[in-house]
Amino acid sequence: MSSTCDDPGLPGPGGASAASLTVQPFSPRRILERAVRGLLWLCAALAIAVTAGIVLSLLFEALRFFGKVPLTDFLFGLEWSPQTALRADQVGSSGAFGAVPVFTGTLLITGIAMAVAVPLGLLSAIYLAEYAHARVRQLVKPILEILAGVPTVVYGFFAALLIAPALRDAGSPFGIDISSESALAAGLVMGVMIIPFVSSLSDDVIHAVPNALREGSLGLGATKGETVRQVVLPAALPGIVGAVLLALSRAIGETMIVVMAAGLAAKLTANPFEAVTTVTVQIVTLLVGDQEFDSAKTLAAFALGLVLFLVTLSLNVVALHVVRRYREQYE
Amino acid sequence: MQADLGIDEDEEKEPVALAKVSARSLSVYYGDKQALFDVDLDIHANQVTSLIGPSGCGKSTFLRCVNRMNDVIEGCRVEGSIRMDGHEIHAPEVDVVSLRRRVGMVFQNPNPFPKSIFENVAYGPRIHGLSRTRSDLEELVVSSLERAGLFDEVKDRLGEPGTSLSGGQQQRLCIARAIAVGPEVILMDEPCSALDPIATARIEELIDELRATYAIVVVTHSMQQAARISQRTGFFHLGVLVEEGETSKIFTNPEDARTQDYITGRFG
Amino acid sequence: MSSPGPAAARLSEDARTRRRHAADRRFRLYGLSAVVLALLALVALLGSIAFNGLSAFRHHQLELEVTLDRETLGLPDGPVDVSDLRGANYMGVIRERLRALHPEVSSRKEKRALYGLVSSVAGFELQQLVLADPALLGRSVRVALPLSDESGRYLKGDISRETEESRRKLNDRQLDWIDAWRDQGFVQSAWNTRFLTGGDSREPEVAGLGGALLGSLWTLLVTLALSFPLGVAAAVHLEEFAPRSRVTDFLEVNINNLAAVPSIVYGLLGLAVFLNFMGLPRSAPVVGGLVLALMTLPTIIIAARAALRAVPPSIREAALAVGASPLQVVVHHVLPLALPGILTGTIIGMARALGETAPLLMIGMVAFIADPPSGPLSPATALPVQIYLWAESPERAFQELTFGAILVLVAFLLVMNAVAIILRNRSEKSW
Repeated sequence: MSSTCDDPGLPGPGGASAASLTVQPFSPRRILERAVRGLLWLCAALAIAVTAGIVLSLLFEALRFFGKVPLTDFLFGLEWSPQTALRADQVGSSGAFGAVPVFTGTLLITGIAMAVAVPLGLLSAIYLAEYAHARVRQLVKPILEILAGVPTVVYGFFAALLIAPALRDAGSPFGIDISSESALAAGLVMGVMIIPFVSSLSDDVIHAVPNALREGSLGLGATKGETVRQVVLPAALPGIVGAVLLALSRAIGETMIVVMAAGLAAKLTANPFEAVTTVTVQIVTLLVGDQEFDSAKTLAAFALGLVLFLVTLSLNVVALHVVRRYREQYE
Repeated sequence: MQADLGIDEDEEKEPVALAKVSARSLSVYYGDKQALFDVDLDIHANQVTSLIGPSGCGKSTFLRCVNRMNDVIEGCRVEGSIRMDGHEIHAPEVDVVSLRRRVGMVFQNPNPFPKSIFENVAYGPRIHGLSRTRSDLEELVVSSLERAGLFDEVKDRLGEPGTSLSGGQQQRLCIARAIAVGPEVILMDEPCSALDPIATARIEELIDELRATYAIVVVTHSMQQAARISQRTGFFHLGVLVEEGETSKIFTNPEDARTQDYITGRFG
Repeated sequence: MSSPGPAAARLSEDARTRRRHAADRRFRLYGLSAVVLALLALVALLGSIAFNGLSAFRHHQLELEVTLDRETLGLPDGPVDVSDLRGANYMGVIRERLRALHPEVSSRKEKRALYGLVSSVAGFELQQLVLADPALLGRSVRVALPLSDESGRYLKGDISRETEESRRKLNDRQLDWIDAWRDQGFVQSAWNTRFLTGGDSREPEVAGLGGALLGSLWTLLVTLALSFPLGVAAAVHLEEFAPRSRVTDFLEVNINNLAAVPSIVYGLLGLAVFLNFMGLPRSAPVVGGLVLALMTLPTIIIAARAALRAVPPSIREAALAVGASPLQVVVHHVLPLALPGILTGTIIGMARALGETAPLLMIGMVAFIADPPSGPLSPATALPVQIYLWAESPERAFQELTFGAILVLVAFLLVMNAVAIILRNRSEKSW
């Protein structure tokens, strides 16, 4: 140590005067530091600006839409045919903007997707977290996550090219008429895509259930399955609910699969073999291509976007809240 | 697996009944590491056997062998023999689920299930199908809670979550839960280490009462506790059962120098 | 208490425990089946991409010696300028060569069938040759001409002779001609370089991904240039400087929610703000990049914060103790250590942006654009949007191209994710 102090390049002890302990308030270094930190603050605040931008742009355009079409007609109307709005010279040129069939179509496809993803995802998570060898779990978990990493346009292509025709052919021998744009095809493929959203997060929360609970149950003579179903799953339930809500939000907002594999016509039906349309499909069809920006048809897309944003936002807020509460419980 | 069996009556200084559980030449390995070396130990009905020794000495490992909880741990291997009522528990026809019904366990930290108090106790009888009717089940839950000395404190709030109880109450709930399936042996792994002195005293009283019905094994860190509650004591050190015998003898006149050192506080 | 009885009987299974064990095994089997089913879906997906996509990288060409005869080209004798050369009748040269190959073909209908086997843009190849070297006029050259999409499908085995003639686009006669060319060695199988480098086309046989790749590149460059610095700066502020307050909590909740907003909503934002309000050009990579940057920002902030949090506090204390200012501590010590983690998150965010389609549809990057973009302001499309466009095209030959484009996209994503995983594993080892 002493040799370092003797080094002529370094100030020796006591070399600095007491005055150097204070820094001029306007020294260049201080100004630079403040400026950089201000800049950092601005960058963080950008996140709020983005949210505000989303809310304001959706709200602004949606309000213009509701100036043309009453809110109640939009939310409770049973007929959706925005295309007629193009023919300004015709009777009924204002189009029909009752979004209920669009909402039910979204629910139908989302429901099918969840019916695929929740059992498969949850059972996979249970198997990987409770039964599989640790090494198998480490290997299979990231492999399953690839399913969520494949671009949705790829799923859409598969749904439209392979799954939908296969379903149609499978239905015909039984006399079931399955549309080639059936809700089933889009829903099934979307379900496969969101398996990892359910399985990965559920696996995490199941893994976080304290081992003491498992041992308590096994020590009473419960089988592994009884322990999982009656002790581990109830303990992990809030986290699993959070995972399912996040997957649901993802399914509702999913666009490309439904654009490519679902229908365009809004039909009020619960039959999964028929073609239905969704909120995201309508947004895309209303906005892609040439458009006049003042027509009710174009603005309707923003009203749908606002609904989509609000619904997914509430799902996310609830899901994140539930998951965080759960983490606090066991950590 | 099958080591030398049978109980050599000559070795036993005290004339006691046939052992409820008897371990012979029991060795346990976690992967390559041997955790228990050639342990011979008897556990008798209507007695509390306490297992003492410094941390990591193998006493909990031994305990977990008796209800085969070590089966759960990957890479764990058990050699030697444990007989319950003369029957080898590692025998192929033995069903681990049935075994654990006969050998209950209470853990170091109270681990009530995230269910109501009632459901915590009813869980075991339900999975084993012990009660035919709802009223049978209720009776069983109440009597188990009574025997665990908890009923009076919780009778008005059986529907509340088990986790809402205090630590000592939770541990008694876990004991009630274990009793409810009608075990013959109860294993307790440091049941009071997470509790305050008053709660500890309650559990100790309870253990003494339960002795009338069950064979009880208590792993404990506290020599005072072992002296207070047990009739027999085994001292483990580095995976070896150094000495085993009547509690009064172990604490007043141990044969082995290591036991002497431990109980006089020279290590551990 | 327990019923008395031989110990052995009480320790072994009774009918009830047998049932319980059976239920346990069934439950385990359900779990295993779910895992296997999900893995099978993945294998089927990736397998069929690889299986169907690889053939897009090879194609067949018709290699012929053609004479660039001025008369057939419709060019006058003497000097010709570039516009003459551009407008010359190159297809005429090719057609003449085809007629020479098959002198028996006489009727108009048959001729049209024969000409139809070669791509309608085959003349373009000749034009390029001549424009590059006008001295070739009047001489004979060997050129590899693109075949029509249907001919290509036949040569690749997608169309079978067994299929009823009325149900395929090529009749028996046309198939005979192609067989004859193949037997005479005119048909060459080669790497389809145009598929990776060329621009989009209405003709599947000459359509390429080059424009889309360039469009994606420009888009991602804009995305990276915006979201990386902004995201890291926001993360540094939140993790290193921001006091714990309601504002910070609100920011945090806000960022987490932004990460889960559907991507199409970002597209709506881009359309309303960047196109209509700010008047930026439609279909331009710069707008796509802006939109994807906003979408990727939360991912990068979250990853960067996790990476910053993982730097042990002792490092900060050590740096502060030698007199570094808080900013110097972050810039000199904390950020370099957190960099691998931040890069991992950034790459994963970029991979997501690369595969994103929906928001780009909203801002018009979905138009048919034949010329590769020259910069971030010129109209472009992107790789996933190109997949969408081809997938929606009616010509069967586009299906193969779609698979090929998916293969390229998935390969990019796999490489990016592999790099991210390697980076993560490396950074985990350091402490």
